[in-house]
Amino acid sequence: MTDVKVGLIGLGAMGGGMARRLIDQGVAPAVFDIDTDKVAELAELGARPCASPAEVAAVAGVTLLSLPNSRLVEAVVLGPDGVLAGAPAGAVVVDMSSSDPDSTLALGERFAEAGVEFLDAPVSRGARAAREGTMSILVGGAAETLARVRPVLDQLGTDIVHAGPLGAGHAAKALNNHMSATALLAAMEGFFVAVKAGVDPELAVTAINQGSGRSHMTDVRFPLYYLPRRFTSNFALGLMEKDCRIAAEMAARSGRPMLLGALTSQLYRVAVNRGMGAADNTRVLELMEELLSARLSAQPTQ
Amino acid sequence: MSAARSSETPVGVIGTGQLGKVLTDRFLGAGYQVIAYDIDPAALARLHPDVTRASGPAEVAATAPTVVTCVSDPAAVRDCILGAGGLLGGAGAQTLVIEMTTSSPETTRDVGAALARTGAAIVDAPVSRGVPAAIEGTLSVWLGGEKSDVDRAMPYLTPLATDILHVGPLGAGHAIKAVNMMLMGVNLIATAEAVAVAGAYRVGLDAFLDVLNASSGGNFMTSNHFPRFVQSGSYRSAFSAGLMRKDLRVARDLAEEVGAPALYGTRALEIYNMYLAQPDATADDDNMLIVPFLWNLLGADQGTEAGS
Repeated sequence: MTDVKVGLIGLGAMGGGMARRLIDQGVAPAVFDIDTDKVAELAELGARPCASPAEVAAVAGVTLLSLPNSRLVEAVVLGPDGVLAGAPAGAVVVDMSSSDPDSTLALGERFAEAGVEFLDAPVSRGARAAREGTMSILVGGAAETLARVRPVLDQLGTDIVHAGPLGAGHAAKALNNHMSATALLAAMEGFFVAVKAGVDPELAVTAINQGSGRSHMTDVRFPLYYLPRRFTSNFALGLMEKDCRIAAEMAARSGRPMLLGALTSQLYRVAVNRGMGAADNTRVLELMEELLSARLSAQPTQ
Repeated sequence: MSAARSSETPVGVIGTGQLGKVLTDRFLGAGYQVIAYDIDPAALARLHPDVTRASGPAEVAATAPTVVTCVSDPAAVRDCILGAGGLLGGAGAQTLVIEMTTSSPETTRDVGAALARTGAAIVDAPVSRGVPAAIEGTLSVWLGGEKSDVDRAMPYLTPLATDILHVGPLGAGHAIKAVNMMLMGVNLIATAEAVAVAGAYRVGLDAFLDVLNASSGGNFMTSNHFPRFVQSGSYRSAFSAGLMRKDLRVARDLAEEVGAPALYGTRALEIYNMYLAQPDATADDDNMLIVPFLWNLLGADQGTEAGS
């Protein structure tokens, strides 16, 4: 599919990086963003500027979406001059946003009616990985459709996993982030107990990482961010709250309640209520320290 | 220490249940003489013939200067050390107690104060990774106590463990063990719940575990326990639901004692209480049976979730 034109809608931190990566790889994409400055910037680098999502979809065989949430994905797809209005039958649309899988399934029906193929392909590893083409990409949808767009995804990611049918990528992404948040908050709670019991926090983290209670959070994130109190993960707390809320809504809609995990979306909602939505996600440590009246630092010896 | 590996200086083991029995085997294999006691004669009978059977904890302490205690819970620790015929009666200035029970720091400090009056020393040395790791000598040990006592304990720990970490004063090892078990319980339950929701969105167990283990949501349950005991269909982890509940209770008690709220840990404990309250559940049920219990509770299709 080397002659297939690639389109990209949404030129934020992730989408902008992906567009630049595609240009580097010799694939000048057709681009649209509601922010015309971003479109102009990329046009200077060789991208084809478009005036609407419909225009992108009309010229591109494969249209990638990189948007903040499902509400905007729905607007970009279904709205006037939206993707659905421009995409010819046989085209492929790939939603690389971290969307709600139920919204993805509903959009899938609309695309199917129009003869357009649709995949969900949320990404992780952050803005730098988007720029460098080293993202992890979780794909939901038909294997044949994935095979068609794989040459494009291969320019953007190094780890491409087919999670299941349409919606599976978005579902797996939300649940992964929700599990990471549960492991994180539970570890904070546990380390507060250890610290109040007189154990040095660094030793506590080292010790747990030798045990069955360890997780990616205790192993990687505590030494990197939480022990040194470096709040620099470049991921907004509000985005994690959104992912946890999607996971909680998935649990509710599927009738499979999360007796334990429900705490996580509730605690993240408390953080957002306190105006922490735009703060770095790692600052959830400060919320937990306040709520649990503890601190992740060595206690003065009595 | 010159005492180590001397055939004239035995090591004592009090509590020869599943883990304690393995400890006696490892000590024999390392060349130690072993004297052991258990309140259950059947547990003593199962030990290797070379192990000397004692009539009670006091006799063990009177014979062996180094005594490992590996009993069921904090109350049993108090009993075997402070109770009638307890270890304290045979202990003296030469005695070092290596306390391996998953117990509470408070209990450890209490028995430590009583032992100190006879000149005896104690370290807390709870272990992690389970019976299979004990058999291989690859346990992880968290030590609490004075540095000099920890150094004295080392020759008795190296035959058992590959990772030995001194985490702080007396009781610190038990505090870490309690926190570890709390996080293990939380991660196990959280994983089972997420697998159930993933299944509703047609993300199979194999694919979901691959995603988690390559990403930020992974934990020791997703990388070790689910592949070994759920995907395999065995549900045999050699650790019981009853012990997990006991450990979660120790963690809850510790959290209350030090004034640290435990939102996740207490809820995990209550979920184990739900499991064990079932009329047909027993404390000996394997810990991994909490997974199909949750799937059933949450309305998940177990066959689909387990990928079998």
